[in-house]
Amino acid sequence: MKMKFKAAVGIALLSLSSAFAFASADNYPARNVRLIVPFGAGGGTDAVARALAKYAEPHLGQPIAIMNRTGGAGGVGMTAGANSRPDGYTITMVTRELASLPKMGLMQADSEDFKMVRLVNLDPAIVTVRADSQYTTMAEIIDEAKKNPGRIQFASTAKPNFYILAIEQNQNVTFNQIPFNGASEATTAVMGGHVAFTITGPGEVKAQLDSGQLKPLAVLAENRLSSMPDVPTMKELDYDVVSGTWRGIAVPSRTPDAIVDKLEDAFAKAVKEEGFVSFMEKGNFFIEDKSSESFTQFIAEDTQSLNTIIEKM
Amino acid sequence: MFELLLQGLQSTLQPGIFLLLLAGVTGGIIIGSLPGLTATMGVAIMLPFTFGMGPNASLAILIGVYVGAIYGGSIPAILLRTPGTPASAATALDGHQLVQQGHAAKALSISVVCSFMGGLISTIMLITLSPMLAGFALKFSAPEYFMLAVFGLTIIGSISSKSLVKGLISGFIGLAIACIGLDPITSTPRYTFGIMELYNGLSIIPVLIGLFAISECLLQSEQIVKEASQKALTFSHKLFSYPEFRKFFPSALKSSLMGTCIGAVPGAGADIAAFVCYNEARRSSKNPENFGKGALEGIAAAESGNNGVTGGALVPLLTLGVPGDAVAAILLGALTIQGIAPGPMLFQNSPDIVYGLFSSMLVANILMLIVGLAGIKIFCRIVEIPKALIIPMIALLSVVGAYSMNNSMFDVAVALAFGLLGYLLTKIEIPLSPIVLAVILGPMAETNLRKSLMMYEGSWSFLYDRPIVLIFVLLSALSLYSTWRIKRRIQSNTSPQLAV
Amino acid sequence: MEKFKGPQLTIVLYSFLFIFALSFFYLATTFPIPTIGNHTLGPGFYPSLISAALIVLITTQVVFDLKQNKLFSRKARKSFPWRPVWMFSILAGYAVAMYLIGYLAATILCFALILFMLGIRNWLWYLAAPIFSYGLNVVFADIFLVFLPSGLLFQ
Repeated sequence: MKMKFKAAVGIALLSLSSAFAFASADNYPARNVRLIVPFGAGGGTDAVARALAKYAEPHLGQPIAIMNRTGGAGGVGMTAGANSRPDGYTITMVTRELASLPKMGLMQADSEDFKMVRLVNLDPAIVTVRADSQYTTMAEIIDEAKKNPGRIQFASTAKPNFYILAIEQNQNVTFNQIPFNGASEATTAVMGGHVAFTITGPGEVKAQLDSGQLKPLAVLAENRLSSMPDVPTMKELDYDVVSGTWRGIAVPSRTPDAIVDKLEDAFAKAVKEEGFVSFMEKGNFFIEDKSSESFTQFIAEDTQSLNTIIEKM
Repeated sequence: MFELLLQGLQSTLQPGIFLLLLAGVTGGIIIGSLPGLTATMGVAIMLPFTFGMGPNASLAILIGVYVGAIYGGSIPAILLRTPGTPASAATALDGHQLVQQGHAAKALSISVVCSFMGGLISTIMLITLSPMLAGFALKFSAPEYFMLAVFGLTIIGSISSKSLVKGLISGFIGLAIACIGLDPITSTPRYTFGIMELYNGLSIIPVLIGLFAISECLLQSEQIVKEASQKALTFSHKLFSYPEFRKFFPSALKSSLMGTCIGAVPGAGADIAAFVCYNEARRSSKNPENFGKGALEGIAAAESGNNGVTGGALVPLLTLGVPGDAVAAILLGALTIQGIAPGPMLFQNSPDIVYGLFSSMLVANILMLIVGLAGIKIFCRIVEIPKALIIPMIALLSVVGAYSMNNSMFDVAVALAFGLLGYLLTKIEIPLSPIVLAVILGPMAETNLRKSLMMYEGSWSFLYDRPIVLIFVLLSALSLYSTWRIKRRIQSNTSPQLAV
Repeated sequence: MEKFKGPQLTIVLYSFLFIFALSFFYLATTFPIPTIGNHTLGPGFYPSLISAALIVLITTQVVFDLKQNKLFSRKARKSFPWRPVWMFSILAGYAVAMYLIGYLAATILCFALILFMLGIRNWLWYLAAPIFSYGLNVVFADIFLVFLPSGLLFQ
């Protein structure tokens, strides 16, 4: 009996010898790279990550496997990524939640625990109402909100929703924020006439905008979107609110620079691939390509502006 | 429309796509039957493979997996009392009882035929009634969701217990557990003790695996396996008969329709549909006390309800651009990646894709029926595997299944903890199914109650202001009445000593 | 086997559940109600309702059982069930082992352990261990591309 035990364990140990793969910066990457995606499969972040991985693989020289690690509005996956081995074989897709969750105490890791590789995507936010809504301009909504504080119903896609908070704080108004779980639920509520308006990324409402079920009122961006040239920016309407969400690649902070450079190179090339560009266009995602230094700085600025909002909450 | 449908069928029946559908359905059934892998996960796993394919092909394989997995979950639910997916949690209630009585093949055949019915009817409704269903779905807001959840919860005390109090204890334990996590409205951490993995609450899969599979292994291990070749159960190979079919057919039909409607409502998926249909079947049955003891209508209702969601969930996806459940959300992602934006424009811009989708659904359901029926013999063999092997297999598979959901050891710990809990609760004769029902429907009830109050600014008038809500209130009252009736019947049949 | 005459499992468990419900209730009252937005029902309302109901239910059930003398009867109990304890420990150990030595080795090892604990001494059955483990590995890791841990010690 005991012989069988030893035999079994022996077999197991032998079979595992193939798991040994020594990694160093010289032969990086020598095996599969894992990309942690902190959101669920099929969502916007997941779709961008998968497309990016697909186009980066040939430049990196090794397959990139997606691992979804959901929970905590992105916190679980990103913290896992920050705490992984700094050998370049586990990279993480980081999103704006990296800048907002730590300050609210909802995430243990923060941007200091990462070394940024590349920013790839920056989606502005867009205000939409139902096609037959009584509101035809942003001004009407804000004026109405000033007259009736806390009465106009807003479908919030996440809690807290920085888009609406930015508007509220900037204009000194309050809305009746009804929290929903994601853009789909929020847009359904708007289409059903249960709430007045919502603010989401453009990709999340593209289908409804195209079919005319939803009407765009304004974009929270620096400049008008090329795909929707008729929609004014909040700035033009004298509301100084710019907000959006972003996605990029990062590695644990102690990853050697040589590996980070190789990764940055691969992703910089991936972003320029025709296939990737056309994918992002079709999905109404906006490419914003920033190098690792400017990405780091961008995050610092964003974190600061979010901190201002969070402190006033 | 028929010409387009025929065109769609032509493209679907091409060897390439047909094979993809077959592979998808078979793969889906396998995925669904492994506890720990859900339909959503199955479709998510297939997603990357579809990048290189055209839209019709990628939809074909994803739909195949979807349809197959929702059925597949019923196989372990019936044979091993462990639902393979949350959608089959209601099937386990009566399905396993039938197996205990020796009718494994009958239970499995009812399950596959009713799943087929659910899928077929919902596909037909999808093809013909989408705009109407979409309009219905849009009328749903927080008050309607709240009452839907309440209706589903009305059976919580009585689903599988002689004792109402014990059933309620189990149900409320479940409701309490469902509160763990960030408060959905205010994001206040509740019972999380700083553990980030708990912020989204306990995931249903590790809870399900622990409560049913692991606790069952713990219970089974109490006795030494005297005869190594001792089988778990013996059973007959008979499928259901025609008179039996006539008995459960009305229930299956109604549940298919209900399942489609529930699927069409965004945010309500197969797991909710299964319980709501089961509840309704019990409420309207002539012999409600049979439910939980192997009632054929119970299995029929649960399985046609959960497969009814497959067609229904595509309604809002195609008409509003909004997914009806988690799998539809992935299909949305798949289409986005292909460069196609689902929504009403899809009918105008790419009708071939839409009708290709419709015919894929039809063919997938037919294939599911065929593969399912053919597989019954094989599935039954599972029950014949010697106990000595089944116990370690299920135990270890459960741990792996709990891990694979989110690549998380924390989920494994949750599963183990619930395994222990399930074992202890069973020892003191507290039923486990109410916990599952509570974990699925509880959060929906609380969140939507509070959202309703926020939308109505503190007023409770949404309870009588809205027609759909009123219907649910009525149904809930009837359901509670039915529960009371069942208890009276049981009481009058047994000695007065037993608990209430 | 020794006859285990400890306090009935039932009363022990009910006490745990009672304490659980009580602490649940207490914690529910400590949840802060945030300042933004109108919140008629704060985060603590629902959990406190549930735990209150649970307390009532458990008390009712205990009262019933007391009336029927089910709690402190002197019937000799079966022996303490050691095997489930073993089984649970093996499974917990499996999780740890999976993390440390990787999925494949851990599965083979624990499968064999469970068989041994169940009383199987015929060595033929132990062949199922590697077959099952490899099979599952192929299904999960290669076909479904689900990540299985490859062991901390081997990385």
